[in-house]
Amino acid sequence: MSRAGLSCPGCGSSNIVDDHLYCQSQLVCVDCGSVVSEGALVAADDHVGGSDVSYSRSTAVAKKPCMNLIKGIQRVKAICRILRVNSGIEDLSQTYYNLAYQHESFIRVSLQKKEVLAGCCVLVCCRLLNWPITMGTISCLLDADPMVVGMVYQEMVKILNIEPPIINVTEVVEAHSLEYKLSSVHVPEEYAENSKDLTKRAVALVELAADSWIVTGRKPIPVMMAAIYLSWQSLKPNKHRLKCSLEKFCQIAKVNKHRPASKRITEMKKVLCKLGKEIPWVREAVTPDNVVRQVEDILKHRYALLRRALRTHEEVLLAECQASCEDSLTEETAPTQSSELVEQNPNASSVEQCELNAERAQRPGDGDDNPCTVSELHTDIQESQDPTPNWGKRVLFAPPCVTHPRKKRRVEQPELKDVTGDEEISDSEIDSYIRTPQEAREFTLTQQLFYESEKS
Amino acid sequence: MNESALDRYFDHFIQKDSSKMEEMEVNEEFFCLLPEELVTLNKDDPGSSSSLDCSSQNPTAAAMAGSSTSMLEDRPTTLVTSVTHQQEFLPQIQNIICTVNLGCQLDLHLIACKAWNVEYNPKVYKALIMRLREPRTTAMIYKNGNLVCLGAKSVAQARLAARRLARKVQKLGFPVRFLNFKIQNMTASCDTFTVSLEQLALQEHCSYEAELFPGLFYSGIPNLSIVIFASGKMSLVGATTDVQIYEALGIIRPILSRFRRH
Repeated sequence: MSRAGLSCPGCGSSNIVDDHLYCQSQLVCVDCGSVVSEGALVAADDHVGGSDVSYSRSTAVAKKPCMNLIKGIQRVKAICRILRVNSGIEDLSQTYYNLAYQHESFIRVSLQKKEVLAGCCVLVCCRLLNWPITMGTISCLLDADPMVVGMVYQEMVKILNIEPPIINVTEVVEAHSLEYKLSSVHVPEEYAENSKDLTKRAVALVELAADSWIVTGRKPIPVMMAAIYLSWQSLKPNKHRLKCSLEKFCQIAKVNKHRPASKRITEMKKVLCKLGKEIPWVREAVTPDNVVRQVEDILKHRYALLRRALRTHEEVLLAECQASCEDSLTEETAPTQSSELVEQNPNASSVEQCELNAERAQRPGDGDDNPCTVSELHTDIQESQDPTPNWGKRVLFAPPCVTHPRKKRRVEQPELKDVTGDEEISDSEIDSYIRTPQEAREFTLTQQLFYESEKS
Repeated sequence: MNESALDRYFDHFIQKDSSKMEEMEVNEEFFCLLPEELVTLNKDDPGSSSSLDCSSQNPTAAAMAGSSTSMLEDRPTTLVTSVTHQQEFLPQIQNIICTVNLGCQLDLHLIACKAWNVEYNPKVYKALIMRLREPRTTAMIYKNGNLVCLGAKSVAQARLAARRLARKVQKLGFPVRFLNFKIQNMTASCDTFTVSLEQLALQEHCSYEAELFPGLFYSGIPNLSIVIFASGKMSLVGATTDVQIYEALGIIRPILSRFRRH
């Protein structure tokens, strides 16, 4: 398009056209080709047609979820399919994963942690919808450190504000026992076992362990491993199985051995021995070596045996208490009052007799369980020898941490009891903390020598 | 510990009258906090839920009548560490963290040269670590004059330790003041009876993951965290005064009594 009224500064021609060939329109002289003027570098106004269209409206599409989120959701689905959970758990896991992923605690973490997050979402949904599964299983699936899984799990539960119920070990035993390859297809005949029988016996053993303080506070997988090992041995207690150690059993069953399982086996055998002693038709002494043969009978009659064991234990403690009371009566001068009471109540329980002695002697007592109250006097007499009575050793079943305490009890420093906080601080005491000038010089010299020798 | 708070705790929870010291009646104080139906249940079968205890109740019923009566005939003036019936629910402070401002800039190099029992590695950490033999405490001293003291077993000891440390720095030639002494955190431990953690975990504010940690975390009390183990030992972290510890124990005690397990 020509422009009137303009002349080219080069040749003076008035034949000026508006050149739209390039993005920037220019006024160009046709005769000599020189540029008369350039357009400003603005976009929209010179272009043909339409209103302003911003970049985000013209080129941006609906916001896509990031690739890692998509992969994470696919991973959640994969884990759900491996575990063969129901669709409700799968959907809920994906929802939780979406929510957790967007949270600031997880949006910028490493990919490994995001993968662990996927497993944790599945885990929490299984817990909420009563699908028995342990954190150990998820750690195995993800091939991640169980501590990392635990950490991510707890953080996730906190930010999503969920309170999942705890797992019941007896429910998980069945799922856990399926990992053990002990069918006749996988192992020789002498080691093969029907998984139903194995599971049933293992569940009974775990219930017994739960009643006798072996399960509370402990990791469930070693407990389950110990229960399955003992039930496998006891289902066919032939010499092959009885000689088979836990390590060999794990190799046969193709599972990874857990170190605490050996300790759980020992603890379970102790409990089984305590009950095995009460079986009336067993003549020989029940020891940890031969108790496996009695496991079937013990589990069949375990409640009755538990009652008998507790009763026997109380009778033993009462007898000990009576013996110690008699000793203390002969040792101390007995007031007539207590002796009269003893005469008037010849049928009074030995506990009450012991208790009268306790009141008279004015000794402080441990009164936790009833067996403890009975036996406190027994230990009171022994207190002079043993200043820290352990109530765990007096009852039949107690948490192992009480029966075998590892920590020494801390003794309070007596000289600091009556401190008020505002005492005078003596100079001599503070001077003991301050170096003399000579000591300070020697210290500085030694330090310099030390650094020089390090450098060289 | 704070004597008046101790008095109130004893008066409320641990009665002096020995005639009322039977176990059932002591528990009644806690059971009055329970809903009606649980009171009768607990009276029949106190605090137990396993079938084990149903069987053990009958043989022991006769003996239950004569339970310990010599609980707390004398109020203990000292805290001894052996677990007796008197010591159930008596908390012991294990650690106190306190801070104080010395009110002046300090030359940590000079202090490191002139004082014994001092560690100073600026490449590792910018603060100087100073220790006292009595009370047995450790302090971190910063260049701006802030001092953090750890390891004291009572509020009075913490104050004394902070003052001794300030005096020590003063003797080294700095114009020290004792400003804004504050107890930041107290850790206490307490021995109680055995508890069924699995059942306690069903309550609200409880977090129990046996696969991760053997203890149960109770977060029902604001600014305080309690870790309870199956043996009944527990640890309270986050209090700033003795009174808070006693109040927390007052809250947790009836809850634990409900889930007591023999």
